[in-house]
Amino acid sequence: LSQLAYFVLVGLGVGAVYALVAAGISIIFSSSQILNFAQGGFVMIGGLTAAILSQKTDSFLLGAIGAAIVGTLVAAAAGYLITAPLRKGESDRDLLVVGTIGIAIVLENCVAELWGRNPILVKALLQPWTGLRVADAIVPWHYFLMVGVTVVLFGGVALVYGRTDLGIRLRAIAEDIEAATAAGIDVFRTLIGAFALAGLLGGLAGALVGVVVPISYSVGLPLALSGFVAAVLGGLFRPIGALLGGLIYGVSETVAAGFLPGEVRFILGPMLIATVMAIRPEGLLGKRRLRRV
Amino acid sequence: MTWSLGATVKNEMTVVVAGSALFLASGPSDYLVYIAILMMAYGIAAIGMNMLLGFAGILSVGHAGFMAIGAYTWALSIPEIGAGGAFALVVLTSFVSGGLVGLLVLRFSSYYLAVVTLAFGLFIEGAIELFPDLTGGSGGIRNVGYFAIGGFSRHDSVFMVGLLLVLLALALQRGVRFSGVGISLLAIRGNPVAAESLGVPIKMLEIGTFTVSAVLAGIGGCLVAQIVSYVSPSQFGFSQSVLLLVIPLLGGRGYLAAPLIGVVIAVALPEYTRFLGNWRLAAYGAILVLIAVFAPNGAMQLLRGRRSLA
Repeated sequence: LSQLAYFVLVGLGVGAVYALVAAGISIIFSSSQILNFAQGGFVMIGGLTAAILSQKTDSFLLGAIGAAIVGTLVAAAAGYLITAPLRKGESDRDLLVVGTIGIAIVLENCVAELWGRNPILVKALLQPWTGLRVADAIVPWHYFLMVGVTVVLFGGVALVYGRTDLGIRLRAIAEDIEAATAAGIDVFRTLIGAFALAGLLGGLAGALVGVVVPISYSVGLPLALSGFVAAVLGGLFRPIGALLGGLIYGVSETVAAGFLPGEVRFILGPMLIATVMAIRPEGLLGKRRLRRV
Repeated sequence: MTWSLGATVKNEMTVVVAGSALFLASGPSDYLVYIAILMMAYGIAAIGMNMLLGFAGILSVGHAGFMAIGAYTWALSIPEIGAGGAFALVVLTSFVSGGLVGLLVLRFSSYYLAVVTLAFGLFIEGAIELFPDLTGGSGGIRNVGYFAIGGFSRHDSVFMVGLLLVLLALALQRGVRFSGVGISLLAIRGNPVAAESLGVPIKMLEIGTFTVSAVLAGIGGCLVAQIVSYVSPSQFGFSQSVLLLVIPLLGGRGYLAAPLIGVVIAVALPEYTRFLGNWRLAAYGAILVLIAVFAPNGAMQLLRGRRSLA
C-alpha cells in the first residue's frame, strides 16, 4: 500500500505538468476552437530557456522567469500567425489545426539546429535528491513543488477569467464568437491574448518538468499528446477542468506503469479518451452544449 | 459530367504513367526506386485521405493506424498464405476495421472527430507494443516478404505492383468524384444540414468514404512493409498520420491531382534534401503553416488562382 502511495505522489507531480499543458490547450481551444498541437513546443522552448539560464546563473527562479517570458512571446507570435485567417473572416479550423502542427515542427527543428540535440536539466530550486520518504523510496520535494505551483497557477487562471478584462473577453468569445464580435470585442487581439496566456503556462510547465526530465528538442510532441489527453478528460471548453484531467491522467499513468506490464501505459491515454468520449464527451467538468443546426 | 473512357485516361493517370516511364528510362538506382515506391505507398493512402478530407470534409488524425493494420496483416500472413492471399487479407482487415472504426467515430463531428481519430491512431501504435509475441513489440518484424513477379528483384516487383495500385486508386478517385456519390459528398462538405434536407444519406456516405480511405491506407501500409522489408510501430505513428493529412492539403484537398502534387512535396523533396539536416524539416513545417494560413487550397490555388473547388 505504501508503494501505491509512492506512485500516487509521483503521479500527482507528473499530472501537475500535464495539467499545465492541458490548460494551455483548452484556453486556446475554448476561445478559438483550434486544437493547438504546438503547445508542447511552447513547453519545450520554455524548458530549454529555463535549463540554459538556470545553469548559467545558478538560479531556478531566473530560469523560470526566462521560461515564462520566452514561452509567452513565442506563443503570442504563433497566435498572431495562426489566427490571421480568422481576422479576414475565414474560419476553416481543420486547416488551422494542421498549421499548429507546422509550428510545432518548425520550433522543434529550429531548436535542434540552433541549440543542438543534447538533453539538458534545469537546476533545481530544492536539493534535488532529498524528499519525503515513502516505503523504500523517496519522493523528491520537487514533485510537491510542481503540484503546489500548478495549483497556484490555476488559481491565477481562475482570477484572470473571473476578474480581468481579458478573461471576460475570452469567456464572451468562448460563448459565441459572432455575438462577441458584434458586441465590439476585438476577437483577433483577444485570441492572441489566449495564446500568450497558454504560452506563459507552457513555459512555466517546461521549467518545472525540466528539473526531473532533461529537456531536448524532441520532448514537445509527447508532452502535447499527454496534455491533449488531460484536456479532453477535463473538458476542452473548461480550462479549470484541465487540473482535474491532468492529475487523473498523471496518477493513472504512474500507477499503471508501477503495477501493470510496462506496455499497458502506451494505450492508457487512448483508452481514457475513448471512455470519456463514450460517457461524457464534454469532459468531466465540461458544460453540456447544445448544437445549433 | 458523363463518364467516358477518354476523359478517364487523361490527366493525373497519364501523368503517373508518363512519369514512371521517364523514371524507368533514366535507369534509376535501387535507392531512387525505393523512394518512388514510398511515394506510391503514401500516394495511395493519401488518395483515400483526399476523398475523406477533400470530398467529405472529414478530418482524421489517426489514419496511420490503418497503414499499420495493413502492414502487419501483410507481414504476418504472407509466410502462411502467400502474397495473393495476404493481399486479399490486407484489403479485408482494413475494410472491416475501417468500417467498424468509422461506425464508432462518425457519431461525432467537428473537433470530437479529431479527438477520437487521434485516440485511434495512438491506440493502434500502443496495441502493437502490447502483444510482442505476435507483433515483435517495438522491435518489429524483419524480413517481410514481397509480391514477387517472375524473376524480378524486390525493388522492381514492388514498383510494378505499386504502379498498378496507384492507377487503380486514381481511377477509383476519379470515378467517385464524378458519380452521384462524389457530388453528394461535396454537398456534405459544403453544408451538411442543407445536404441532409435534400435527402443525402449523410451517415452512410461518410462511413462508406471512411471505409474506402481505410482500405487505401491499409494497401499503402502493405506496400511500405514490402519495400522496407521491415515493420515496426514507429513507422506508423502520429507523424505519419500527420503526413497523410498534409499530402492532400499541400496539393489542394479535393483536387484529383492533389495527392500526386502533395506526395512530391512531402515525401520526395525531404528525401532529396537530406543534406540540409533539420533545416529541411523546419522548412517543411513552415510550408504547412503558410498553406494553412495563406493558401487553404494548396498548390492548386497557386497554379489556378481559384479559391474553391465546390
